[in-house]
Amino acid sequence: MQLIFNAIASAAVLAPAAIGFTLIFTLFRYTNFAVGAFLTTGAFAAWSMNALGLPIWVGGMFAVVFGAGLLLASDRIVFAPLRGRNGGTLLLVSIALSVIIDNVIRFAYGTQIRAFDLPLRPPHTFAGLRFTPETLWVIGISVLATLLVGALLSFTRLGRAIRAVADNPSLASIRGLPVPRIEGAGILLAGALFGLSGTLVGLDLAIEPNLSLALAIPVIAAAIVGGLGSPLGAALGAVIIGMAEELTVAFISAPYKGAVGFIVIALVLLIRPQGLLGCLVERK
Amino acid sequence: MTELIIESLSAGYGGANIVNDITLTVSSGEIVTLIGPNGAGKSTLLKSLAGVAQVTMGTLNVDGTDLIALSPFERATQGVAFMPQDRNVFRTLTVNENLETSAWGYEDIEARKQEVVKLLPTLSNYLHKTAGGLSGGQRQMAALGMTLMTRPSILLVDEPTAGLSPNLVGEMLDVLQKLTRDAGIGILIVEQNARAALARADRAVVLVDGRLRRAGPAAELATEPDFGALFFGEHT
Repeated sequence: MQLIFNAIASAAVLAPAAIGFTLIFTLFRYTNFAVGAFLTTGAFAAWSMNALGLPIWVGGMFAVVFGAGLLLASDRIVFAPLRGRNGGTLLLVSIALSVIIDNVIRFAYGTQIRAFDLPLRPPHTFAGLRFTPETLWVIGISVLATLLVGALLSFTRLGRAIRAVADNPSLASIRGLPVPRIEGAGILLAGALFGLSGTLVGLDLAIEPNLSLALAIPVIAAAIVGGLGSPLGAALGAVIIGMAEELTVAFISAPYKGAVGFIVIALVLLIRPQGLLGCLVERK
Repeated sequence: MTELIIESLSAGYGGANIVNDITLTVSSGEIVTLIGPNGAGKSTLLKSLAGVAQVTMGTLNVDGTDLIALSPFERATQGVAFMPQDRNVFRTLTVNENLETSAWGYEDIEARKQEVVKLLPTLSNYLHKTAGGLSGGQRQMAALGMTLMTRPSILLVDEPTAGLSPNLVGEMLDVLQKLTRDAGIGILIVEQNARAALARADRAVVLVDGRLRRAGPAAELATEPDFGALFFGEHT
């Protein structure tokens, strides 16, 4: 039971970012490897507010807004001029962007490990499960964010428009949808999710500039396992990656946790390339 | 009475003209069919009228409004709507969502949807199905419904029967004919099934090598012997 609970806690940290990642992928058809750097930035943004004496929830709100703005700025400056280039080129560009962001963080904050100002207290025990109040907050906020994004995409006019543009931007333009504005809304939403995940990372792990790679692989793996293009799949993929990581820690060794994402990506691509809830698409 | 007037129009892609010097009118309540051999430029002409391909010369207006500088959607708001041949529905959305999304910017979406379902009653059978799971005929009907959401006066329809079984070809063309009668819509259609299209069209225009070769009443053109040899593979 404790293992499952820990897996859900890990998944809760990854899920919003995996949904944001899959949103960017469906809108623009490229793998944004800088996702880990955006999460790290979100963690530092929230920590900065917390370090000023503001409560963590205010830091989280700031990280959400900062994450949305940063992703939009990165799109306008870096990716928009390259629109239409192939996915491989954009992947390389996103790796370069990740390195740049990591180094900017190092330059601004140094390499010192940071943590939110949380009161030290022993974990609670309930029905044999040990957990901290922060873990419950992480799970609760993540579930709420996932449900809200799911509702936005399914039941609102903007959400339907985002799905339409992701499916067929040329038809969306013919049908009168303001495609650039809708893409912008999708980017802001994804960036906000990165900022949120970054804050949740800060509640779960130590905050340091070297987090990027350790975060990028499981987030991308979760999105691939769930099926790129499916927000629900991304959330489900996060649970599977979380479970695989916890099993690795419990039965193999903690240092191998980092390899889980790579192994799962390889297995999914071999067995079910479209992921759990994704659809097969014809390559044109 | 709405009239789409095309005068001396040349159009293509990347500055290269595919169609040249086309003069043509389409009025509300009539079907004009564009026929010609493969590569004649029929679809390019339709796309240039819709704002998808680039017009390099000539004029294009509807009821006195110049359409050349307008986007596809702005042309639709002027009453000229385009139904592409393929990839013409949002596959991940339900038919209902496809219809609603096609009236972006309008307040009376529900009323428009009711009108469309009244014009195309079969849509009500699969309104809540995801468009990606529809059969070919259902998908084309959904695409037509989406095009009608802007209440067009002139419809530009690119091969609506492509990939449909022979019995559905007639059904689809009958629906288009019904739209001209019941809703007074004028239709310019590109159709591979030339014989079936001519049987329902009021006028026909023949395009060869990007130029307008013949134009006249559909019934007259359909009976011309050299015309049959050219387009239907019939030998006299």
